[in-house]
Amino acid sequence: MSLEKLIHKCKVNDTKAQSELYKLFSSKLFSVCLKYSRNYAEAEDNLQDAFITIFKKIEQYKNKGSFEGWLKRIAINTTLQCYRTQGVFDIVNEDLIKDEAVTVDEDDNDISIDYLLKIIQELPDRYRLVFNLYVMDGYSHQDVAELLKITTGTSKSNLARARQILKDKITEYKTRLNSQSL
Amino acid sequence: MSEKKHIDRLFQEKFKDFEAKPGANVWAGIQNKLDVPQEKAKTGIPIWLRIAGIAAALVLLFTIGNSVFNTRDLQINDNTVVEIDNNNLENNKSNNNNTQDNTLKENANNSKNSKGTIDNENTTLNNEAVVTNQSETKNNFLSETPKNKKTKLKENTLHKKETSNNNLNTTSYTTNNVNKSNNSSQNNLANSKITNSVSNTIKNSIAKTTAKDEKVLNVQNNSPSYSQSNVEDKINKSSNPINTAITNTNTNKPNTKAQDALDNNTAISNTVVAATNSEEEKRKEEEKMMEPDSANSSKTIEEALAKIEDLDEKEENVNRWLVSANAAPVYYNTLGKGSHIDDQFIENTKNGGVNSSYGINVGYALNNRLTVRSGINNLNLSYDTSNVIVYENVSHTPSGAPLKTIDFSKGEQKRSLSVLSGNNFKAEQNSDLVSDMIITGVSQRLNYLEVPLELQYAVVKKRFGINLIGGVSTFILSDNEIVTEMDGRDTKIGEANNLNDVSFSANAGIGIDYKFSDSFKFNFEPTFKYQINAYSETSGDFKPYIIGVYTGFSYKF
Repeated sequence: MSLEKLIHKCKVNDTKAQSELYKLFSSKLFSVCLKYSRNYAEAEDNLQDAFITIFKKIEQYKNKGSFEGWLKRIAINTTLQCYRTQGVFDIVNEDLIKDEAVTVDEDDNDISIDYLLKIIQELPDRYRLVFNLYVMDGYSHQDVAELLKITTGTSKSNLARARQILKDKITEYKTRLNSQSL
Repeated sequence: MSEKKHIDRLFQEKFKDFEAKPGANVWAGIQNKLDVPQEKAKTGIPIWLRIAGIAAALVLLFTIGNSVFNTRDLQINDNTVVEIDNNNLENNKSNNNNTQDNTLKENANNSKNSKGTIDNENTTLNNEAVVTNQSETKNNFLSETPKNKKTKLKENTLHKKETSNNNLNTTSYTTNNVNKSNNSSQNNLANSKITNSVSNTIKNSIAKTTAKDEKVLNVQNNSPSYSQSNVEDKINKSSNPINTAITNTNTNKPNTKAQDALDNNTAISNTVVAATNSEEEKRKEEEKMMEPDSANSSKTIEEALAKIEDLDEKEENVNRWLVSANAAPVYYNTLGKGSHIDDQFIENTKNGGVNSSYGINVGYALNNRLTVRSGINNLNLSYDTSNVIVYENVSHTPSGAPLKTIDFSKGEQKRSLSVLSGNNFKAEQNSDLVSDMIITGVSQRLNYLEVPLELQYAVVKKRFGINLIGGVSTFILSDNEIVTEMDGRDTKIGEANNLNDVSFSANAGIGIDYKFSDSFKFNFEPTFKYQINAYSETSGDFKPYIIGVYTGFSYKF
């Protein structure tokens, strides 16, 4: 069955088609949710909400642009909406920090994806969202600022802090590994 | 030394093809939620459908109930018809008696006409027979109404009095006739004297008998004969001196003639008395037949009437109850300028929300116009305060001691949320803080169980009715949350703790109804409810009220 046909069937609330669509895209969207969420359970919740929104709004998809991209946007928006109401309200009295290059070693590629995901999830809500939006999904600071209802300055600052935290965690992880191997 | 690379690249490369399979429970959840909203969409409108369903069920129930009631009515009608038949039978019976009486009376009349040829004794016998017959019929009559015997007897005595008067008149009249028929002037004199005396004695005796009747009601049976004999005795007594007087002045023949005439006269007068008696009594009986006889049959008719009255009462009782199902858009707002949350929100723009109320009411008609009613309603209310800043109350935040009237629900990470007025915040000119926060509104959502107790007075009771409604309601708080509205998405941030669990309201409204039938009505009731004691502490002048336009159907049974 072509994707187009599947989408069409989903538009008329065909349960079988909905199941098919879920099978096709759930893994990809779940990865998005995992990155944007605080933990696995929340990611599952957000994925669930995202798919419900998808099935409700699939009629609005006019076969223009990538369907996967559309799905991803919904997943991201669903997650954002969740934290927008819960956690974006941090009043963090922070100084804007410079967006300087944060580098890691080449061999850090060996670090397990699970750990990387873990440290992303552990980031404070807005840092995590900004980092994901900017780094993982290629949103501009302008977009991020609009999505999170923050200023671009805050977005940049938050990104820099996120990077710093991540780097620190990676370094900490490596030293722990080294000490263990020693 | 390994090469350095940008941390972004590390994550981008690592997560490029990252995919993760979610748990099976996710799809199950999606399916559930996809089913539920569809049902919700169905149930959203169907509140009306449900009510309509309830109404339809009620109608069905009541039509069935009605048909049952109607068959009962028919049965009762049958009964009354049978009773009427009985009455007719009784009437026939008594008519038969009447005809008997009539024949007897005719006999008596005949004997009267034949004067001397017929024995006095016969006529008296006839009379007695007539009287006894009548008394028999009376007895029958009375025995049929043992319950009313006493009153009947009293009535009889009263009638007797009347009849006795009538008798007196008729006796004098008949004596005149007798006088005419008699040729001798002496006899005439004697007769007139005698008849006078006779009339006197009869008067006396009847007076006595009536007295006796009054004294001893049971004697009635005997009293006519008693009076008759008494009269005869008296006549005999009184005739004695006259006889002697006549014998003194006249020969035997005229004496005997006079005696005969006297005897005749007395007899005739007796017969006349008896006849008139019988006639009177017949008339009396006829009257009784007609009206109170009716009075006896009055028993049955009264019974029937009583039954009908009972029925009416029953029907009235049956029609006193009223059930109604109603639903209403309800508007909640405050009369004064105040805030239910905090002083700082007094100046904020606030909007009352329109929500829904639905419920069932029961009414009981105290009389034709006044109905007392109660019931139970589910009432949703909301009240929005705009320009409110919701923020997370971090330890080093300078401004926000959490409001004491709201118990904020804790977030996932034990974050404590708080709110402050946008109006106040501007003064602080903290642009950096503002940029990090969302200015939004908070909405107080309430759910009450309302138990009204209202009086309804019908001003106009036509097909279109107008009612005045006044009363009180008791509100029992069942749900209370403070919700912040952002991007159309509601998030509960806490509960108000200044709401009383039980509050009251004074209600006034106008009801307009349209009767589809005597029992089935459509109601339209705009009602104003002024809430009392809703909040334990409010800021400013916060006087909540509710306006509801209650619409629904009611059924009277």
